[in-house]
Amino acid sequence: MKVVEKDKLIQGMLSEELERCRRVLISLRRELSNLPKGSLHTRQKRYKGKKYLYHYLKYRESGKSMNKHIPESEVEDLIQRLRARKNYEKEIKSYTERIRYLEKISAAR
Amino acid sequence: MEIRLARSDIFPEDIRKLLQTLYRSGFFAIGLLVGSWVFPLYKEAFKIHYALKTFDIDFAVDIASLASLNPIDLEKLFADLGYIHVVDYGTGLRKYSRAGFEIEFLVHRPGNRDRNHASVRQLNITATPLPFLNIIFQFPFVIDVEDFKVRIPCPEALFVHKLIIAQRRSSLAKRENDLSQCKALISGLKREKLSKIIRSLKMGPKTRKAIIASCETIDFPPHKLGLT
Repeated sequence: MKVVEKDKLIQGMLSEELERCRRVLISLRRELSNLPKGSLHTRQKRYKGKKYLYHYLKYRESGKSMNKHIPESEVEDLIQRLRARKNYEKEIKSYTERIRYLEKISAAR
Repeated sequence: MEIRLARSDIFPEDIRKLLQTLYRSGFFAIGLLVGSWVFPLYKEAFKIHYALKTFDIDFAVDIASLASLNPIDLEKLFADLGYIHVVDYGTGLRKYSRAGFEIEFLVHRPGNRDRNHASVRQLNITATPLPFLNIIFQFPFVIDVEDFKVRIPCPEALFVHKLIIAQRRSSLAKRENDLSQCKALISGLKREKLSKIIRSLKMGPKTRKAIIASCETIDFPPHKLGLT
């Protein structure tokens, strides 16, 4: 195969990849918007001589620090969703970096 | 047919782990590794050289064989490997991504063009329907890569499939990639197997025309396929 043909093929694959990354990024951001922000904290409270665990989600909203009580039954699910958020954020970073790189290559070609 | 490879360092570690997991789950009883990531195996087994690889890995699922399979929760297996699901809101297709690398599934599309994704409940995945995908399940090979095995299409079947779908691609880049892969596959084709696959096709005039057009683009004489 001639060099020119190969170059065209690579260029095509790169622009396909750029398009794919942009599409995935949109989907990832959409998934992320459905996941909770913040971090889960636990306080030990005493009431009438008994010890209780008080779980709360700490997050920021409009610049303010907020605390939201989380019932014991919802803690495990919240941990999973916070972990998922971290994974999505990591993935978004990966795709953002790749898009930046591919755009740079596309502009240079 | 099974081929044992001498080398085991063919794939990057992440892909090796993924293939190993799929092998252990029993997925390859009904699935094949396809797309650009099949070429490292073709290189080792058939001396077919094609260097370009994409950031996604494709697997074809034989829907017809699913009835004999015990359900496998692939989504769970992928989550355990650190993949997250990504929904393409345009098509409803669920893919799996990790560090920018995507897993995608393909199934045979019998005719209905409107379906842009298919649910495969036994595997807990969705897949992209692709026409003529049944071709690649003819004469598959099992490649033994030391501690796991991967089932792949034979080069002849992939060649014929790519010749057909290249002409149906709406994306020029994908078409060129298909044809470029076909060109690379020529060196590893066995004429007898190629004829068998062509003879097994219920080929309409449109498909015949597509094959001939692709052959002309890659300078492959269509008479070698029994077409003129």
